[in-house]
Amino acid sequence: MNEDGAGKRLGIDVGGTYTDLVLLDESGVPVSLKVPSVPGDPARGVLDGIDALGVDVSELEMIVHGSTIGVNAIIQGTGARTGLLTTAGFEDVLEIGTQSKPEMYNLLYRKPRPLVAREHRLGVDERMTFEGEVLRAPDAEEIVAKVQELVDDGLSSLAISTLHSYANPASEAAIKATVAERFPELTLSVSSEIANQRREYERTSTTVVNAYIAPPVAAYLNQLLERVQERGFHGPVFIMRSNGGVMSAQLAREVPVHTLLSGPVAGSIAGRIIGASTDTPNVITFDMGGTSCDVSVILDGDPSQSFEADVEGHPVMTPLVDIDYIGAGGGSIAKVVGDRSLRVGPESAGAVPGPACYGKGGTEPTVSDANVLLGRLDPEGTLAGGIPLRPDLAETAIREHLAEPLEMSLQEAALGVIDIANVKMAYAIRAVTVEQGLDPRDFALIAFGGAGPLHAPLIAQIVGISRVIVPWSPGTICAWGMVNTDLRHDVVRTVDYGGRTLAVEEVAALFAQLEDEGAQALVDQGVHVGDIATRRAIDMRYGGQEHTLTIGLPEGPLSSGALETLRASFDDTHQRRYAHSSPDEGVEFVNVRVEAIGRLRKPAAAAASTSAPREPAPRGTRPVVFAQGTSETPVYTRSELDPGARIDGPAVIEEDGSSSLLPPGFSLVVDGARNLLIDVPEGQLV
Amino acid sequence: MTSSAANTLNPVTVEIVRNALLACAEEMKIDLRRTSYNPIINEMNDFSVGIFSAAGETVAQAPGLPHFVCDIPSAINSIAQDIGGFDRFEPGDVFLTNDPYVNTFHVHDVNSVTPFFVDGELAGFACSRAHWHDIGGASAAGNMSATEVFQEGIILRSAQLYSRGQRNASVFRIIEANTRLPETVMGDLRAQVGACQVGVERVLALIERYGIEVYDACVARILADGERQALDALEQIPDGVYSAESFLDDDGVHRSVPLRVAATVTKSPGRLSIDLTGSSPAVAGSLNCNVNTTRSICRLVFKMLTTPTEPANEGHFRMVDIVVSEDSIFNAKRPSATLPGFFALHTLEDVVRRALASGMPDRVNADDYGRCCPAHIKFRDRSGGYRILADTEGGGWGAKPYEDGESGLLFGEIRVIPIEIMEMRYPVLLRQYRLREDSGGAGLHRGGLGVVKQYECLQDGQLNAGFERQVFPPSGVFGGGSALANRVAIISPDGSRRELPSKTTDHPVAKGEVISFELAGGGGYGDPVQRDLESVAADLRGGYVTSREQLADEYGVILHDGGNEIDVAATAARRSQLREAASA
Repeated sequence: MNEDGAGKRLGIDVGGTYTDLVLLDESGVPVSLKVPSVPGDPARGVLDGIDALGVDVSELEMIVHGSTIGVNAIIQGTGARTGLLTTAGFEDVLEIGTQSKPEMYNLLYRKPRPLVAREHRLGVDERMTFEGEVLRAPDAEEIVAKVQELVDDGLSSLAISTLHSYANPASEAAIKATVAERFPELTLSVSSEIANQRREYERTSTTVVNAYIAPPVAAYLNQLLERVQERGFHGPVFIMRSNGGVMSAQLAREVPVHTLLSGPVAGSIAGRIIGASTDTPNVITFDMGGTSCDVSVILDGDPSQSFEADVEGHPVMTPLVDIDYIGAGGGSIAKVVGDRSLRVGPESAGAVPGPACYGKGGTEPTVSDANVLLGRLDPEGTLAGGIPLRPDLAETAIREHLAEPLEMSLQEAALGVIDIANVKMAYAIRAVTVEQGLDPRDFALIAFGGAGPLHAPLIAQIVGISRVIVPWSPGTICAWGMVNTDLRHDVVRTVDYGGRTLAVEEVAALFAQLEDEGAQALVDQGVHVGDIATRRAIDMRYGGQEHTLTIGLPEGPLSSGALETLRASFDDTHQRRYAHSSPDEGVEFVNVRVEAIGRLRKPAAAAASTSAPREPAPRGTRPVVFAQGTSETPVYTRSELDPGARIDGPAVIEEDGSSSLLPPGFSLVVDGARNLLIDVPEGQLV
Repeated sequence: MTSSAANTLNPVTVEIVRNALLACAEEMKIDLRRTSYNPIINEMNDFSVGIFSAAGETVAQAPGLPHFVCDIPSAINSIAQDIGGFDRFEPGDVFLTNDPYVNTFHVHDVNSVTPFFVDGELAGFACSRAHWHDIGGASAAGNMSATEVFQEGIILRSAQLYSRGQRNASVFRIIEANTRLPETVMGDLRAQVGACQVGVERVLALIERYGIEVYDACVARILADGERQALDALEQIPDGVYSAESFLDDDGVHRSVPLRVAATVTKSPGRLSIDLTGSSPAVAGSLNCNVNTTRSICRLVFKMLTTPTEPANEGHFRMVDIVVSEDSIFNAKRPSATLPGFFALHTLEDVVRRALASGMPDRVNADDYGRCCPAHIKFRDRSGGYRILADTEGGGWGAKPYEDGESGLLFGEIRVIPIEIMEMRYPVLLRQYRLREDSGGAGLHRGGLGVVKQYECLQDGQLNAGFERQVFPPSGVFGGGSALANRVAIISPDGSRRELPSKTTDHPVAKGEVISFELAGGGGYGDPVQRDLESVAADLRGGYVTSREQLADEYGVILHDGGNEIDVAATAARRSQLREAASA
């Protein structure tokens, strides 16, 4: 796969409702398709899509895949029957959790339920100190007796997580060896192998989540591999992971916990690539769908990262691209509350029944209904699958639920719904940036998802962002991001044992060791050594603080001054993030991290056209309502717009599954990669 | 506000302004958390920020913890009173107050108040209130047994930090000279003032867009909408008089003298009155609370029962009256001590909620473990300085109208310290950290379980601990049973136990001894004899309930000999026996 000349590759992003496919060949021009997912048999949905796209899989060099199988198993409670072996006396760590109560006024709050029942969490008499000193080693006989109990109860997957195993994996390794020998049929997930970091609850939860989803994920991947191989595909299948890279399907079967958040992450990776190709290294990605928006911040070409996520209430320690969720989308319901107050969301009509205009039984007015009524979405358009929209039902919903009780005109009510929705999303985007000490006005907004390009220009204006970018095929951009990324393997080691400082030689030795580990993991997945690059970072904090910042270090031998440079960089970052720093105070190293990247060859970008662009010709016009009034607005077909084409608003640009709105006063130019670059005029900021 | 602006007010504008104000408060919260130094603010969320009207009413608030519902107006009012009225505020002013008889839980809570002006007219306030790490007083870790406020810290009553934009250096110097942690405290002070400045800038931009008349009209509408929502929800409570009482173990100084907390709640059309007459008189110990903080707690319960998903504003509480007698633990007078007064407030929360239970049985759960059990284990390091392990453990919550209570849960967005970090930082080795079996009150729905946390001390130390509900355990509702009470004990290497009282200051612990915190469960909901046998069997399998006595006496469940299997026939007989006894 690392020979010269990248061949054809297919990206497949399986979501709950739709499966997106993107085919990239030598030309660099992507071909994309959206087909309905088949929830009962997701592999069937993938093959249907491959057929519909007309791809001969035997010609493919590789397949890159992301799916929601693991998350669905957690949501639906259909994971493996799972047990947990842990340190005796600490069996309830998984159920006690952080004890945090996020819904502060909710008397009847419900904690997330553990994935392992109390009777299946068994303690082993062993204990280790925080420095990794063994106080009591586990006893093989006790382990066998405990696991026998679980097996007798019908359990098929086992998580092993003991106290302080990040400091010394010996106990867990001993338990694993004993169990593997006596119970070879059990699937084993070991905390020091999966989430080698301090904090017993989060590490245990990560291990348990892995144990819970590994069997169904493996079954699905095996089935998919079998079916594409039957059709003559012999290349590698890579699986998208939460850190923005990919890994082999083989590894994904063992540690699926690292793939759980891959869907939205692929969108952020696509945003990074598009940002780089449009000379806008600071971008905010804005993926707006039916029920929610995913937002990520990319500063100087680097997506902001975090190392822990919450998956349906279960903490998961995994390196990931940081995605924020906003509970607003096309399906957000508008309603009148109290006397004469108009609210939009947080309730959503979801995919079923969906907005009133879908004609699937929804009667409450939604953001999408308002867009149809205003002509921003084509009232004569269709849903994916060719079902015509029902503007009459949108109008009825808005009239009965909003316009009449509020004594407003239909258009006023619909405009109000959109304005409120846009303001809420604008504030949420602002909050994501100011939280990191950043100013949103220093960023471009990359809009995708079905509804993103329709709302992003006006949201950008509210936030004070001057540039919106709509990528090619914004409805399937996540699948495109998948085929454009690299293999990546992250390694981490906890080094903070109570204030002891590390000398530069120790740091260098640690990095060397981790770089070897990371590179080996990539080589095991078929990467050539010459295609491997590594990046180094250290999690640091001021003495006594709780929160850490992750600071990068350069490649190559560490000079004697490297730690001083690192220290200065930490102070600077702390100043930006928290508005103060303490250069005279001691700092502590908490974790040492290495990202190993296995470069995959990318197809060349599509050759830029040398001929002059055709004058953009609208395919027609329709009345569209803007804040300034109704305009007979030109409607363009996206695929008809040549690179270099310019359009002044008002205009609507339509393509399969998405529409871009260009309000009066806004203008756009199509770049060489056919991105729409929208100039946002200054407007009233709120 | 002009009447024309109010009449022509567009509902879309109101909603945009409402969202803008909430975003404003949220941004103040982000800024305070981002820039403050002290983890009690940026990790334990002990703060409250918001935007207030020119009359000092809460318009939009972003509290860090639930107890701080609309708690700042009394601080604004008290400053206005001290300086001679609202018309004496000037552009560029910033005032502080932490007077524990005005609006705070204790002297550590400092309000920062910044007025803002439009065309020279007072238009509102941006305020923040946050818990400082140290503000002088007799003990760095907080003395649970003070008898006068002067032992608790200094009072900055209406201290003017900036006047017309000019920094009053003397006030800064006074603060700096009166704290053990000047760098942290001055950093937090800057963060609080800065967060208010963020709020002022954002709200002034909003006013510039819509004009002060429309803005004022929107604010009036937002409060009126809040009132309307609360009134609608209030009507779910039938008119009538509801009452309940509970007891606090002691006042922290005089052991074995329980304090009474009583509430009579009267619902009449469109009004709710909460009368605390009958609660104990003020105490010589430190367990006193001021009337405004008491009001916030009553409002919190009301909010939880009526509009739990709405961000709070003053409108939500216009129909609620609070009555407190002159001499009451809920009407602290200078110079009584107030530091652990929050114990009384937590119990008050239970009492008001329990009073209303019969009026809204489908919204109310049983008592919980007591909601705040702060513990400090203090060790000396080699240089003589203190290393203080500060832990706040959660317990069981009351059973709900439709399911069992939650086990091991705190009261807000606070997290317990991971064991693996605790053992690295402090000379302790955890012996166990488990759910406390049998601690949940029996019921149709069982109360949640408390936790047991045991620390072996690896060197000599001292313990400060405040665990209420040792004498009076959390109660059940509608026939549900009580939970097991909180307990704190020190276990010697030979296995003997020393039980400690509700509030302990500087209790010595020797190396090798084990400190055991055993947290209360939550009360049960409904008659345990009605609990379905499948749920009882699940409790038995998981070991949530193990006591054969509790099973037989409360649940009416009999097990076969030598196992955990339910004897269905014997159980049916036992249950009908219990039912007959109850009806007799």
